[in-house]
Amino acid sequence: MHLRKSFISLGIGLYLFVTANALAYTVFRKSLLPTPIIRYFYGMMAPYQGYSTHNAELVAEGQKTDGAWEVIDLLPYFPGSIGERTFREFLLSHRAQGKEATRQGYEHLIEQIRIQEAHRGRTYSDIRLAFDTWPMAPDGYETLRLPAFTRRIDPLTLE
Amino acid sequence: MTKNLSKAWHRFFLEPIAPHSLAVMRIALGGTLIALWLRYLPHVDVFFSNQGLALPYWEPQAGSLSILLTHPAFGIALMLYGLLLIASIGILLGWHFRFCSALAALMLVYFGLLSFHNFLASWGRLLFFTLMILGMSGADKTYSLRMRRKKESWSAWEAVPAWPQRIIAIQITMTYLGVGLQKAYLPDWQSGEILAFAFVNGWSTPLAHSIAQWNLPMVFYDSAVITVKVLHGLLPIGLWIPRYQRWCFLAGAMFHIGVTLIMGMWWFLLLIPLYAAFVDLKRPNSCA
Repeated sequence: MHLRKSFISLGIGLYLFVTANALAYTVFRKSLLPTPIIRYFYGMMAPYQGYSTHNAELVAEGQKTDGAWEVIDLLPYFPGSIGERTFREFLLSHRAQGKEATRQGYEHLIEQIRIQEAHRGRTYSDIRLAFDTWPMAPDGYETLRLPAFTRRIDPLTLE
Repeated sequence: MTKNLSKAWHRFFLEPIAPHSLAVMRIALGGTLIALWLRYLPHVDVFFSNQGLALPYWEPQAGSLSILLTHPAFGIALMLYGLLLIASIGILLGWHFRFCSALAALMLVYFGLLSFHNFLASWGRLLFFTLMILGMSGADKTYSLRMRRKKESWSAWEAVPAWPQRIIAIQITMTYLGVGLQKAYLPDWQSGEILAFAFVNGWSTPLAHSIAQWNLPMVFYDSAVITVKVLHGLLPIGLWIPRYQRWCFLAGAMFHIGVTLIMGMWWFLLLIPLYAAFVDLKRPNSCA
């Protein structure tokens, strides 16, 4: 019984130590523990940290046999709310691992789109990805998604 | 001094308490898991089977365990998804609770590595953390099928160790504290602009868009941001003080309901019943 309580106390102490480090990292960006150890606990105290003035949506285009490019409808592959869809399209778990992982992530995504589109009877010799960005507007999500306001950016650099 | 500290530690973390608060949290967690399960049910094919864009966290390697992260056929994906529902119902009802908690955790890790890794935010981490701690807590020792079978009463109860409830309370405190501290110094949180754009971004609900069209003055958004910061500063203290608890519960609930109405992030509502972690509902010596 005593051993069990000591073991539980050790676990609680460990939790408190890791959480205190995560809080220190939150405030000072410094911690006694390596970042990978505290990342999960820091993640539980990470708010909505910044904002953008523009909406963004991943756009895929496939090159047909005659050389022409056509837009591939990605909506069936990213169901759910617009917010969740955008979250997923940025491949944030890859992005957190660096540029190379992000590049590999988008390459993998292109390959998956090619496979799924082929299953649906649409074959492409090449597929390219980009993000469309346009200013947010009170009247609706797509209101200012017009040629004059929409800019196409690279999914890796976001520039 | 050391003896006093040791006694305080023992009293706070290791002494037995009544399980009612933990049971409330268990029921809320089970309900949230079922709601999430229903939310993703129409999209099992896209997210968890080989009919969607299979983007696991790790690229599966032939001959290694990571091959388990190959997206399965739709039928198998649906069957595995069904296991998560069974586990979630078990948690809700307090039926084979430990087993169901372990199964739910395992399935969440699996679906997380398969697809949710691209949508892992603070709420997902909090949900999983709560599941792990509650799974070890004995939260099925009242208001559960287990007690119904054992003592023929849903409300019969047995005492449980205090530490799981305390850890959830500490985690909620640290979450509000960390979030509050960051909001205090992050450049984007120094005016109401961040909130104004939250009313018109991809997360915004139709209600938020309607409010944005009222063209409210910036002072409204500035004041709301200051209020949120003050709230995040007060909650980590007030939640622990019985005298102020009900006001803190009310303020916290209003904040999370507001986030749901404006940004549709309903999953944070789980934090409201988790406030039970700050309340010891009954004394162990009045055991039923």
